[in-house]
Amino acid sequence: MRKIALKSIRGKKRETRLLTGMLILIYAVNFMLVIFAGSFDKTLEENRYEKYGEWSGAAIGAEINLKDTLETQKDVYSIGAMETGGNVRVEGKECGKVGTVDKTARELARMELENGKWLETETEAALPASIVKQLDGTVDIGDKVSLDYAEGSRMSGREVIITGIIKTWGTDWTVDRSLLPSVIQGKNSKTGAESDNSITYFFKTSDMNAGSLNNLSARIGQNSEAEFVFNEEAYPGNMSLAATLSEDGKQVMFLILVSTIIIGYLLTVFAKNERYSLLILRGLGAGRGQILLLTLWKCVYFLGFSVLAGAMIGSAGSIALLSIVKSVMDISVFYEIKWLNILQIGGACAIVFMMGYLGMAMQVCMMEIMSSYKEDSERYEKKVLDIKRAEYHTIKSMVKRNRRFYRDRIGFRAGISITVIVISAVCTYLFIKSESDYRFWKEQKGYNYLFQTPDLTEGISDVDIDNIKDIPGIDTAEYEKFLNCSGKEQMITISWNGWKDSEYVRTYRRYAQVHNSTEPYDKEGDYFTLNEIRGVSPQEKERLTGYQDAVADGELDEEAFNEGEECILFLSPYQIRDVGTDIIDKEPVYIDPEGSVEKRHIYTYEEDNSIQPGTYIDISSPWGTRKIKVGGIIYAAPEYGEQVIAVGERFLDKLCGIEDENLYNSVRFPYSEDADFEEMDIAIADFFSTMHNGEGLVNERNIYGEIRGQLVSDIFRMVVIITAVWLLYLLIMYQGNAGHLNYERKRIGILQTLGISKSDLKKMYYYGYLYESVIITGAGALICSAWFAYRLRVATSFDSMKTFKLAVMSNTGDLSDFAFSVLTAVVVCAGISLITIHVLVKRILRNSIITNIRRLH
Amino acid sequence: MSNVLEAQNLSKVYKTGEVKVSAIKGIHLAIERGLFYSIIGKSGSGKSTLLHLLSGLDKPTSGKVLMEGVDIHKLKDSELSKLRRQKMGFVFQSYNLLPEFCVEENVKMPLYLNKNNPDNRYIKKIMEMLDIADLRLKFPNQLSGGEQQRVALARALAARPSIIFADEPTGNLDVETSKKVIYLLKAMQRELDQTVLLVTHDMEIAEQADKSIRLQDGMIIG
Repeated sequence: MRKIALKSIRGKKRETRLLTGMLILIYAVNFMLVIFAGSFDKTLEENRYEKYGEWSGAAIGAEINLKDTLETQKDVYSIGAMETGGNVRVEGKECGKVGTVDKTARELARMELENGKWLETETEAALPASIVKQLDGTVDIGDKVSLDYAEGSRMSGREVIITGIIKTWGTDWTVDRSLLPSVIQGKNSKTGAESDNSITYFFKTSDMNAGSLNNLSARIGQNSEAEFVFNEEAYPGNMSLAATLSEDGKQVMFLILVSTIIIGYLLTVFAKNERYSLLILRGLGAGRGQILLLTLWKCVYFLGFSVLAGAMIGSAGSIALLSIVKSVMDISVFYEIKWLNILQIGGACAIVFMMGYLGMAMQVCMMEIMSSYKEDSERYEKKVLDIKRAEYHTIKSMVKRNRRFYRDRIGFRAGISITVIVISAVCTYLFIKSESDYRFWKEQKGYNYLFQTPDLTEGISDVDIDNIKDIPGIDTAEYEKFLNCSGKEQMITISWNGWKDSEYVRTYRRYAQVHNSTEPYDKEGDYFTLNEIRGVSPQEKERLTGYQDAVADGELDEEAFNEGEECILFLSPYQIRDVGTDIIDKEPVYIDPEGSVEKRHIYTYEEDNSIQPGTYIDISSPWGTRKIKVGGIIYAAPEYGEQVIAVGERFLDKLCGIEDENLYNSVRFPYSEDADFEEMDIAIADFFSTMHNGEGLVNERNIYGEIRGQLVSDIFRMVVIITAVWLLYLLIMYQGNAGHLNYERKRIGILQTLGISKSDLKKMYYYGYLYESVIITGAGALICSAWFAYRLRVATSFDSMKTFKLAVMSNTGDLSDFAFSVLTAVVVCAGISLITIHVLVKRILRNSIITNIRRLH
Repeated sequence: MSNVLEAQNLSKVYKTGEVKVSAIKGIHLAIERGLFYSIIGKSGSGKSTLLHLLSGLDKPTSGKVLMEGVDIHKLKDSELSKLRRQKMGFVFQSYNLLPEFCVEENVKMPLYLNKNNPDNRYIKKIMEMLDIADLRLKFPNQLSGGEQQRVALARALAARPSIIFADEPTGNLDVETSKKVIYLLKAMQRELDQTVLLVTHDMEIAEQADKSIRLQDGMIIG
């Protein structure tokens, strides 16, 4: 049977070529995408590790025995220790902190030496290149230097030999920079005063997400003072949509699904001829077992050859793609072959193909052997259409009948085309968005340090701001005060006993609390709840004038407002609306009743016992409680996004009990693009490390760089997916139509003998494919539109047709990008479909009629 | 009697790689209107090739085929297609029915393609004569070989062509069915005053023809 299978394959050159060609293509594209995606992700991952370290969790300020506890946790492995001591001077110059870092911690931190070797004894030390630079290059490997340790208020000295210059030491870390030692000493070294010492354990967990670390810290945190930190930069939880599309599981499932559709199409195209051959063999006396064995051998040959050739082509393709990534993104590329994914996809494709092929053989085995099995008897087709009467046929109706007759084959083809249109449209849209975002972010240099903490008591003072402005390169600062309750159990409440039975207040509170995940929300109460409150600065003259103009009851006493003695209340009409965040949610939205486009209920403040100017209301927050007088009441929709209340900055100080200082908890320091970034970064980091352990400080330059990097990787992903999909589609359409028309040749020949001309035959096929393209395009565009509407729904707020129209109108750029993407996808797909059919029909019509009619199997 | 078809120095050479095979070698032939011709010869003698060249289904390497004085191989595809639609009918050994159409639609197909409204009385008559009237809504895959060949014959006759080309139409049929098909072909030929060119290697069938053309190695030997 093996020999017969081989002869049969060799004997059907055209079909073998088409079938193996398509199988090779399926395997090649699948392997290429898996290798590329794996390597691309690995490359991004390695680049993140280089920047943020490879550790997934850290226990900061740990007791020495915490390592034993960590070692007993089954999901924790690779535990490295870092001990940081007090400040140290090298050759009399301040060099930060001294510490020891063991080998595992060094590996997890991705610390590398520029020169020399890692230290071994307590009399050795390694210095980072930045500190060597500060020492005017006077220190080199092998030099003996004097270290001065700060031990409380006094310094004590010791001499050590420099064994290495450290190249990197985690450029941006989730753990406090202040904990990172600048001078690394050998183990068992004295690292300063006991009181200054701090141990940090770095480790990896088998499940790389913040949730896993939370579980871990909950498990062992009760018996430890350590603070558990997840390295969220190295293991980001929130991925872009583009990156989400190529997640492991989704990618495998998606590739298997698409491959299954293509293989299904492939089998419907080639099944007829194969069934015919097998039927003849049955007639010649082949038993059912022999037929199945023969089919099995054919599958083995087809798959064996296709897997080998596909693996080679796929590997070459992925290497070529990664080379492009390397040259365009200018990053080190890491190759990663995810064998499990390759096995899953390769295995699934093989199983689907074998099941389909063997299923067809089984079908033949179940058929009764007929006395004549002439190809045109079509008796093995078993297809009968349900028609009531003979119809008058034109070319159009002949196409329709043909489509009805071969609906399974056409169904698969339509399925593939719709899938391709949807993937291409979505990927083209994401490509356009990423590309335009990239162009935007390329212009944004992000020359700002941003300090933000939700707690005003942890803000920085005027004096601090002035000191920071003294750092070379920083000239200005923009600052403000706010309170934010995110992560706190208590929200900000604004209460007055006259609001107890107010539907306006109750409804507002209900939705504000549900929106902020307060479950169960308070059904009874005389208060509003807010998540955030911002202080209005006396410098915001325009806003204050706006309040003055909009106040309907009372008036704005600017001095009292600025002193935090009076507030402005906003009791504006609102509706409950979907806010269109990632999780569809409802919240009160202030509206102008005159301009409202919606007829839904408008909540207005119309109380019998309404609040009057001069009334004192209570404001309660996690930081304190205070009364404030209502200066004025505004009933119009707020212009600056205020909610319920506007207060002066001083009021927040008073609420938080800040008496003598003037603190700001949101400060932006723009800096000059000509500044020495390296020195400025160190100076800023040092400043904040002494104040807030570096928490809340963001260097927007780095963030913007990461955003640009993410966008470039998204653009690459999309380009690869679009190219692969279109190439695959072109080849599938060509091979599939070639197989289909190989069968159709006889039909073409018959129609020619009946007197249909070549041009009419061409028209017939063009019309058929055009009609099919229109249906497919419509279906594809519909699915894409549903996706776009969903995307719009989560990105913007609409919860009715009217607001949907408004959302669309306010996103015309997105809409036109989307329309362009769908149009591109549709034109490419329809073009590929029509061009392939044109080329193939033309080729068939070049044959003589008798060649076509005597189509050989 | 006038000639409906003429072949002048007709040759056909097939090339398979380096090998050239002369299937028809310089044939001169005149086919008279209204006669039943059989083309006979051994396998590989060139019978089917000659029929295909005379009907315009295949192109000669050299020579002419004149139909009513017009060289059919010089016609444009649209003109030759029209000629085929209006004046030629074909019956093959493999019946070549269109599987997606029912019997009646298959029979009427030449008329649809000619954009003629079918003469239903005539179609009904030939379908009754060929004993397939009861099968009119059946599809080819529901018919026996004999039934399919009778449908193919009805289709060949539907447009009232002046000449019918039949390429071993009984090759796949049993003796009884074969006799019936030939009988019907002759009956229709007489009734419609058609010319029939029938390729066969069955001498019993060949003897029923008005004239026989005997081929050997691509040449007429009698």
